[in-house]
Amino acid sequence: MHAALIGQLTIDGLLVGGVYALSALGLNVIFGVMRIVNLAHGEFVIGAALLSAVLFERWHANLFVVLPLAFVLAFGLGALIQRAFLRRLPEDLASAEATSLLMTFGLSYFFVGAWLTFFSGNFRSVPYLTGAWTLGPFSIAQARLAAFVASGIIAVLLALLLRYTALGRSIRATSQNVQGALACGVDVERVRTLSFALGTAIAAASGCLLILIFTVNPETGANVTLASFAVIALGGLGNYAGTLVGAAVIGLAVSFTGYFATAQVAQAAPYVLFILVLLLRPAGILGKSGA
Amino acid sequence: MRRTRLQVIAAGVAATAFFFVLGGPRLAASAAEKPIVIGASISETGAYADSGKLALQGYQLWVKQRNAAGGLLGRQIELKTYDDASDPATAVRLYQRLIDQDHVDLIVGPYSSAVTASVANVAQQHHMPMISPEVASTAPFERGLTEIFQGIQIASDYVEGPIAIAKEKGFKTIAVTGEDTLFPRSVVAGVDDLAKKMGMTVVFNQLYPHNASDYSSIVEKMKQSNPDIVIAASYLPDSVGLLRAMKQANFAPKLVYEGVGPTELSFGTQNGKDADGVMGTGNWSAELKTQGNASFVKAFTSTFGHPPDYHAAANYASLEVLGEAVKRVGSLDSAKLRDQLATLTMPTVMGTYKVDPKTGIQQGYKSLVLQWVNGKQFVIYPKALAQQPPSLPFVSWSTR
Repeated sequence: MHAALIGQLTIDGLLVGGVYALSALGLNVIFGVMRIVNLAHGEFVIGAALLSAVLFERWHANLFVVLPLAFVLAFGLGALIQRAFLRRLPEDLASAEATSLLMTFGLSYFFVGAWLTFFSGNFRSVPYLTGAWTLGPFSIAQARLAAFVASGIIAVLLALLLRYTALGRSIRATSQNVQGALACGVDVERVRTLSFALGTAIAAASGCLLILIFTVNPETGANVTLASFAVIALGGLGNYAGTLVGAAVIGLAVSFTGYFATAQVAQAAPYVLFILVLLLRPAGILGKSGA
Repeated sequence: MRRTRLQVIAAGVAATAFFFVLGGPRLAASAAEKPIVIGASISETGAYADSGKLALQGYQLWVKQRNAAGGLLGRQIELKTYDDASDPATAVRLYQRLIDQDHVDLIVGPYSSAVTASVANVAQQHHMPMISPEVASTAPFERGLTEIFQGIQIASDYVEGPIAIAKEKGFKTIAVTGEDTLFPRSVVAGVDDLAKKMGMTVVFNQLYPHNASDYSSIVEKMKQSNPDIVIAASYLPDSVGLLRAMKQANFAPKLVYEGVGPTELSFGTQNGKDADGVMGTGNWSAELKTQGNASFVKAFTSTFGHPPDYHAAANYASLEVLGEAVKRVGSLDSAKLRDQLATLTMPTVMGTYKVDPKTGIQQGYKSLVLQWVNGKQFVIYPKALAQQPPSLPFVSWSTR
């Protein structure tokens, strides 16, 4: 019985971790290329989540329709934001970081207000795939599994894009060394725009999956941003493989502390881990120290 | 160019004069029979916007109907409302403005307990009696204020219904959970004593934080405690999250009660068939056989294009009470109105309005236990108001 319980908690934790991973991957792409800590990230996740909830309420729109739609819309929105705002930040690094932080903080407020106007303050969720499959002593929530699998597919596509396409090479080059990328003829401005757009689109995709599991309203975006940051801190900034490990650790931590301690402790768990990692292994679990 | 400008000015002067000639006498005439102005602030934007809108429409419908029937004291009624953006401080300023600058004749309560608690002081200072339909907490009434009257059921007797139903079915063990904030905590506070009195055992009792997103762990814990019934003091988002987690964990106790969440219609849209069997505590139902309820629902739906909820009903009922008080007093005298509101007993769409004359706390309106059956809400408790008996036990997830 005890082993079955631990198995169940592990399954729940890993499946939720999959969705955290996707949201964090989007954030990580943006940070890697632009060195921008995007505090408005959660708002893109929540915006897409609410959009898919509304489309489901109105027309029973299927996830396979909504996810690509949200992806494309968010891609456009991300490109627009980069062109209109972030590109105009000062070039020198020290002040750029502070201003980008303030700017994305402002953007996050703007979008919370915008979503409140579009979607109202109501909490929403999508009654889609609400059942569970029974596998021996375990029950596997359909929505969680679907979200996990879809996250996995998108993560693999992202990995392929980064590894095998010209754009992916440019993104990686820009993340590693802007001067080097410029010297090799990479159009860094274009790469930045596309990266921000891509990161935003991935956030939107994760939002469409998140709403299958969680109930959200426009004001819950900050939680998503923080959880994504905790995942990245664990996995290492700019480290894509580490993000997956970080997400699994966070998912498991929430699941186990929620059972063995209380839900209040579970809610604090990602941030406690976040702080511990920053203190003990600032480069992340997989990161080399000093990296 | 110059000529054109002159022409414009001339036209403007002519138009203004025209309006004065036409409008002057009319203004003078209407001053004689000025409408009775009822003032309120409502949360039309901010976190409570959706429910606030329905509350406002409850007020609007009564004013519309009353005016069509000849108004009050032979005068038409005008509703003057401002948007307080769900913010208590803003609401306080707005009520001061309504009373000091707009010189409204009567005031009625705003939306939500927190906003009402702040506004109550303004009503007290100006000696303006205020019936408040959106304040389930009794705290504002326990401060010795003499001008506010509760137009909705009190929160503390919520769990009595589901536990009485469980007792009747012979269920023995209870798992208790809920959101770890003031209102749900006060709802579950009485469960231990009540269970003991009924010969039942609380086998699990743990709350979850506000804005929790993942309920799988707490549900897993409840499942391990193997209770007959689950009592959750939940709002809408957490009631949906908990129920979904219960389905995903394949956990189906014999009775599932989820606080105020299930009373909202979107509990049904968000859960679909999974909502069936879930109970909640409500203040009002469209099916309730209270006086004027059926025609209220019909008029509301045809006026606004969507059905009313309990907010709309409670606000409508509060104006029913205020209107009756004004009629009985025969004037707008605040002191007499205050005494009338304190002692009046009358049927409304919510039930029988009756408050404790000392505190203004509601005693007449009774909480209802609602249950979702085949995608609809039915009143199942108290028996006198029940539309049908409880449908129990809760159907296991695999056989739905």
